[in-house]
Amino acid sequence: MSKAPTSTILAIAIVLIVVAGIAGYFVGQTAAPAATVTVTAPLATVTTTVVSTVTVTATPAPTTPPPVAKFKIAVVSDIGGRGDLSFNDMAFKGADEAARDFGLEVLEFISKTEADYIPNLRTAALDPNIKLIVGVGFLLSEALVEVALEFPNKYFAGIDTDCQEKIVKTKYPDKYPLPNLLDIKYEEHKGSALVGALGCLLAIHYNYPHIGAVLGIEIPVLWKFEIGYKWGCNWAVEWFRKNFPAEYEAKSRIAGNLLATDPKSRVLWTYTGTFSDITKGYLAAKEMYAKRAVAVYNIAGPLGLGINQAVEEIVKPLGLTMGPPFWIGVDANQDWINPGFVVASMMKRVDKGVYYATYLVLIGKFEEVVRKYKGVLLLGIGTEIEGVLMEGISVSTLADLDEFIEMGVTAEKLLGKPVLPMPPAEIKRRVKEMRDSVPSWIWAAVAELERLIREGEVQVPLPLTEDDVKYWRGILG
Amino acid sequence: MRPLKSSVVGVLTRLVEASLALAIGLAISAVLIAVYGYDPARAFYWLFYGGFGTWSLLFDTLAYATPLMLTGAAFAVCASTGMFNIGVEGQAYMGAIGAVALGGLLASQLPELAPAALPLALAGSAGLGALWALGPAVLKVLRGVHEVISSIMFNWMAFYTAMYLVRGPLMNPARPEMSISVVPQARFPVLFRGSILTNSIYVAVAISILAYLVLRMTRLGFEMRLVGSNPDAARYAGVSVSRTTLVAYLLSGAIAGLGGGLIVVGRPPVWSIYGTLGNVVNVGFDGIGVSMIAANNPAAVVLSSILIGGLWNGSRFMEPYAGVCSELSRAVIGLIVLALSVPGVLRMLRRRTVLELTVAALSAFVLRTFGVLRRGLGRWSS
Repeated sequence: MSKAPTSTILAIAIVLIVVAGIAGYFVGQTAAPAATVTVTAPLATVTTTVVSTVTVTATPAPTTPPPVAKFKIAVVSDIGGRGDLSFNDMAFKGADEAARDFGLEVLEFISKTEADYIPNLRTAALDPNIKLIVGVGFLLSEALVEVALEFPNKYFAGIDTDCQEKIVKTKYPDKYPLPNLLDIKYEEHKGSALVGALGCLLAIHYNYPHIGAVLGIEIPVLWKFEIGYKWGCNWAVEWFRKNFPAEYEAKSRIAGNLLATDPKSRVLWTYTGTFSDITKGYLAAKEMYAKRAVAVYNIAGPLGLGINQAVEEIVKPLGLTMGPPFWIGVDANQDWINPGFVVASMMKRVDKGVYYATYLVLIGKFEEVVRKYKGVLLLGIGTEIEGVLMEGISVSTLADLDEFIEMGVTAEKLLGKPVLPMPPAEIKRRVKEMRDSVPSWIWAAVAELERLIREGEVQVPLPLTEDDVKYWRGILG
Repeated sequence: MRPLKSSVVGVLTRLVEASLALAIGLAISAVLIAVYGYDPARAFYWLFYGGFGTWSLLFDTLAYATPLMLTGAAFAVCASTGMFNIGVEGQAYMGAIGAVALGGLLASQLPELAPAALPLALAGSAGLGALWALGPAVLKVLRGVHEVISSIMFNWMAFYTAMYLVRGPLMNPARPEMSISVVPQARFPVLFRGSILTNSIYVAVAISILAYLVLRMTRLGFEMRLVGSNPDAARYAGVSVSRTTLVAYLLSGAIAGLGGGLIVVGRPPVWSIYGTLGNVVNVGFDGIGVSMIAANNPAAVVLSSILIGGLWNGSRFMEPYAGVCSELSRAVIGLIVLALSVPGVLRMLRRRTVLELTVAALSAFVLRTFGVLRRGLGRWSS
């Protein structure tokens, strides 16, 4: 045998000791910083401008007092970190904006794998200057609960997480709701109703029989999208009948118009059973466009690229520069992905969620809000928390486009490869041209529905159980 | 066995080699970090602080190292028998599946089995890992199919099979984005509050040392090493090469399976497999690096896995505290691991053909990259 096993062990042991020694040397030099910071917090984006002064005290340091330390917030990303043009980027955007408005500092903890969640959250919580830790994405739920229990003096917020209702309530019922943990969730059903109405009116206007929805795996969150979308379509038909009775009669007689379609099959919908297989999104969308759906709503994250592919196949040979057919974006403003063919996006403002959570910490009302709302901050249309407007759901507008193009430009720099399909100015021009080509009464109808939802005059159904969904499918198809 | 004097020389040689490799790895990384406009000294400070700086960080490092010990030992066992078990990755997936199937599904369906859930889960992972190794092993013994090629294929089969199971029969109905969790009786207790380290590390260390002892002290181990260094001589000495090959491969598969299983039963907070396989992916490929650094010695693997675990754990600190973007920090760790395994690779070169090694290294590299890519694509959103 040519190998000397003991020697290998010894050698590696020595290397380890050397490494540990170097680390130990450096560790000896660190000092735990701590400080008292005064922050003035103007919440710029809210209707009632609240200016408040907060004093944040961190644990006193055992070692030499460092120079003034800043109040910090930490964002612990889902796998991948920056550059995903979705949840992570949105969360960082919100944190950056909060940092700018409130004079804070943001620390980014990137999770390389799911195994990094707890260590990253804990590392952030151990930093004496970090007061608020935001976990991005519902996969962090368990980890957030564990670490929030361990650090009662730190605030934790989870985007889209289900910590309090699903985990704390069942595992630690005596601690429910955990006072330092906030689930930030969104009223996706309301946003979906808006784009459902939009799609439906497009079909009526352009004489198409259907609208479509490509969904991911059938989980309760997606029911909200599905039923909201169908409900929105129904509302739009009623709206059209009321406002344009003559046209309603005429269009109802045109074969191939949505109004002539059986009410229960107006919306074509498919659960693809995946959130990652883009091909399945393509195939599902292709079938819908073949049945002449005017727009297909992406309710499956990355599968939107498959929907886009299906649209491209139809419009490229025809040389079209704008829809119909369209598709509808989700979560972020996806209008720039294929300008002219994404009619609008149902935006879930993850950035606002991070911003509001920071704000609640700054005005010292975090725990109060947790108690009042059982640990869940539900952001939607017209949501008002503690007298402050905190909206988290909206349909994309032309004005929104800039900041998302900006996000694409940053991602391009980060990834070192092109992300945007064309120069920003060209994107804006095409999106504007497309939006102008859609009749203004359609946009007005969507705006009206938004107002009605905001003022509580209509209630978008919120299916939470399988029975709810069955009931609504029985009505809406 | 060598005489004492040459052993001492051996230690010194290894030491010089390893230090040189580490120095070179750090130097190249430093250049890379500087080229991207960051401060290498700060980056390395936080890297090592994050890995070894405080007790709780050190415990986390040990937790990161735990599954790597087993996948590393698994690779080392096969390498000692002269084979490249690139399949440790797939065997680890199946091991994780085995733990969930027996320690989660079975134990929750049959509550009377719950007290024995932990041994069940471990048996399930070792068994399924070995079963997954059976394919390439039989193909090699009966048909002479090269184990690198077949085990790469088996890795992909394992990936899709595991993905199907996690999102299908083993799915957690309440949390469809992950598999069901193993029952509480099948979970290793956390060793220290404030760390993710569990008792599972004892299992990993024991198995690695056991593997070493089997290789060094038993007849089977001797036969394995004999086959590894010279199959013809082994055959001439009356050793059944095919039997030894088969046994070594199955042993390796079982250990790798345990490595995957320990991720499920030995790591808070979910005690299950994510739908992306994200918490299991790459544990095998990292194990290959760990084994290379340890010159394919299963006992030395314990130490090298702590080193690699520490690097991965510490790399989390490079972005928030030294500003180094996460992609670069990943590249830096890759570079250091690569540099550290060069001596091991060179030593293996004496025995294997250049072509074989290149194929093995390239495929490991490509697969690992794919693993990262897939994980990115498999992200759950909406």
